[in-house]
Amino acid sequence: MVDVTRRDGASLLRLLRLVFLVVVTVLAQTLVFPNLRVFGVVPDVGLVLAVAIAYSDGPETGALFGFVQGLAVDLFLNTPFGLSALAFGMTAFLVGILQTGLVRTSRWMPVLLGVGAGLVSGAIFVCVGALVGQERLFELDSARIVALAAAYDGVIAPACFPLARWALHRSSP
Amino acid sequence: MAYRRGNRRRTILLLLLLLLSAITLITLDERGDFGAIDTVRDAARDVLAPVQDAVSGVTDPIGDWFDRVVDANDLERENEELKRELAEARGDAAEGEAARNENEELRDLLDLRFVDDVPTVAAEVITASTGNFESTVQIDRGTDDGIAVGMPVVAGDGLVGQVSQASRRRATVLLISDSMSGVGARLIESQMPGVLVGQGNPDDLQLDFIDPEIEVADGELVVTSGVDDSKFPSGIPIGQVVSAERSGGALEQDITVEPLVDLRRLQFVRVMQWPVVGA
Repeated sequence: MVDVTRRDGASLLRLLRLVFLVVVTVLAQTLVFPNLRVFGVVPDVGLVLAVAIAYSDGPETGALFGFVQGLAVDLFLNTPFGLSALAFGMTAFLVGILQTGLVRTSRWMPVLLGVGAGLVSGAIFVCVGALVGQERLFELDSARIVALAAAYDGVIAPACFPLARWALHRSSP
Repeated sequence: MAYRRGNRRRTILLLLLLLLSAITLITLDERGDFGAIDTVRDAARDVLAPVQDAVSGVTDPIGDWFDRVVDANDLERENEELKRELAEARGDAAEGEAARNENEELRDLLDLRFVDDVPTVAAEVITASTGNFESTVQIDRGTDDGIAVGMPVVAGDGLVGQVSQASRRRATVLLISDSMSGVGARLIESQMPGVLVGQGNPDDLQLDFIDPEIEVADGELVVTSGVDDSKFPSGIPIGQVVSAERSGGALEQDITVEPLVDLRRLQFVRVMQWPVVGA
């Protein structure tokens, strides 16, 4: 986990890089990806990054990053504020827990995690959204949207994992 | 390995804290009585506005190119369809003038010159929705330009939607195709009122509450009903009926309407400064 109480330069740099990633991701999600829809869907770049961070650094950093990233994305959505934060944070947490049990990895892991995380996060988003009054989310078409977005998440995942490793590495300032 | 058994308690505490925070925020936002969230949202959109203006010149051409690549098959199909329609239109040319005159008269009768009487604000569509579960667009005008939540938005052919959020420099338009959208509408021939609801699909709307006894023709125009306290002025064209089915025993018809405006390719719109109910 990013220890903000430790005042050493390496931790501070790590934190700054993570904040930088949040800002860049929000810009990409709001300015670039709406123009890059495939079959009408956009990927959740913030979710995939949160998953990559959870995979590299464990459930705590992943969940925190996912939560903050989700809040930032929620600022630009019409759906309830906090819904993406919940979905991203919980999904990253699950991936972080899962990562501790993995004994071997493969080069397809980012793609698999991207798709899996997209499905889990989409399911959380739709189910919790419907529970809090957005019944329209609980429709058959939502399943199609979640599946397509998850596939898109899998496609962009290989580019997000190196970014997460760059943000997390502990080099001296 | 970053995650250790000894950290389990701290991890669970963090998870509970995040869960609780998220649920609190969602509840406050859904109840709508916590203005700070809207203030933060509006501020974020205004902060991003200059960046959007700066990068849209770069991202728009990329988006257009991407659309062409992704929609190549659709465009080919659309091209074939347009060729067929052109051939039919040529065949109907002799009837064209008479039909145009009749159409003008009908428009006068039904007061379809919807923009003439209401002041409007021209706006450019900046970006489509950021998420996958809503059909919205963001426009480059906000409260500083006289735009308020609830105002109807139209394009050349008819109704586009309604302003759902407005900050100083930006506004979000909830499209009629969004599944949260419901528009009071009426069929032009029978004058039968109903409610046109979005399906989350830019090509299909559903017209509810139309009596099974009413005769509905394919191609029939659907306009805003404009009943008392309506959110929209009367007579704004919305779409055309593409199918109307009656199933035995049903209390209403199953009517699908295609929007007149191409909601996938919105570029310029006009926001009607229509009095907002309850404002």
